Amino acid sequence: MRGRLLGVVAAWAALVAGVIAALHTGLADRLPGAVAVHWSGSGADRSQSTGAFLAQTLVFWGVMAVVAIPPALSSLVAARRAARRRLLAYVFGAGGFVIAMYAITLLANLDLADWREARLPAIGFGYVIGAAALGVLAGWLAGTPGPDRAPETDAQAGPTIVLRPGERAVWVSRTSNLWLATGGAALAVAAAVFAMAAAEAAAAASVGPVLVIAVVGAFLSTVRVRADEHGLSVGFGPFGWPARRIALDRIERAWTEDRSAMRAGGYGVRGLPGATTVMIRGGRCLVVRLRDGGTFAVSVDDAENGAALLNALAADGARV
Amino acid sequence: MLLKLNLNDPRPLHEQVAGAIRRAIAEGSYPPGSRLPPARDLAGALGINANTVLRALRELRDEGVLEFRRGRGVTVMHQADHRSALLERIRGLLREAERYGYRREDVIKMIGELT
Repeated sequence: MRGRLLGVVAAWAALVAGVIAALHTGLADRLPGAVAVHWSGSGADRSQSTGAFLAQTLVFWGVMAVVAIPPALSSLVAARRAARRRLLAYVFGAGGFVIAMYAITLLANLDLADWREARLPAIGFGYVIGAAALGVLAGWLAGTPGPDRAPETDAQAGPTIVLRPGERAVWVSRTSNLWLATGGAALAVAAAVFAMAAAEAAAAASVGPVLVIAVVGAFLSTVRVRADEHGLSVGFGPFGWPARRIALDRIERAWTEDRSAMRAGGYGVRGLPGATTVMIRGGRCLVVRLRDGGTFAVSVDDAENGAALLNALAADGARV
Repeated sequence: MLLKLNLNDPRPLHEQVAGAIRRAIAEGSYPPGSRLPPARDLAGALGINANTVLRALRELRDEGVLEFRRGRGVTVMHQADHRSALLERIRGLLREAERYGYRREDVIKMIGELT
């Protein structure tokens, strides 16, 4: 299933690149040496050689496609219908967008002697949006067949395990979001390259906020969660710092629940104090109810075992 | 990954850790191909030295339960859940046999005599 998803993404990436290259070779004879690639209110205001425009479009598409590789390799994405649909809708939609952008730009320059005469019809944008929407729809449909892990919840009982006397039990898990990690890293690299290439100091400084977003994204791409006799601890980022700790005597009970990023309100630390969700990826979350009435949830792999251990430890603590 | 250590177990710590990981895999919470939490995290949670955990991980790799892959960390081998479940029971069997005064060779011989 995982291999199939990567195969679809790779085949589509190659197909889009092929269509772009075919448009270039097919229309090359009827294009001026330089084509208009940007329009403002008064008409075409920037040009590029046809070869450079082709190369730039292919690189742009390459970056868009490469971003999809880590999630396409993820077995979690392959197992969940919503995640598959999202991934393929993105890849197919982006492909439709790039092809349409390239096509309307070349068509606007067709049979002209000079790129300055090129006119971009307003309907062109309609075609681009339409092609992207068609791609999104096709991707959504392509992601539909296949398995789907059913959302389950065991909020009532809550799992538990048996702890024997003289036994020490700990639970550790971590979860990473490859989208956030690769997105953050790509953004950081792009911002750094831009800052170095920028001629003016002011332009370089404008990259600052983007860099901050990229670093925050990278920090929220990983959580490491630990449950032991001290309670629950959630560490962020590659160094596990900053960390959120909940002492065992504050925990009433624990269970697991499927939560989506849509319901939690996005990725990151979501919700209000007393009802926090640490949302790294959609899917199975470890949820604890606190004695003060609040809840705390974190999306993490192997959450059942974590909830079971916390319940066992909390029960032990209540007996003592 | 849920790890249980018996504080009264006389065996060396790395063997106990290897046993705990073997049981966690046998219980199926880490299917083949999935990635184990880093040794550093496991060691921190258990309050023991990271080298002890690494020694346990290497033992499990030599048993064919785990696989060390560059850039992918430590992953569970194909069919390792069955394998580690069996290995864990065989180890228990050997310990029990030892208590009754049978040596390892005796147990192997007994298995060989079974039809």
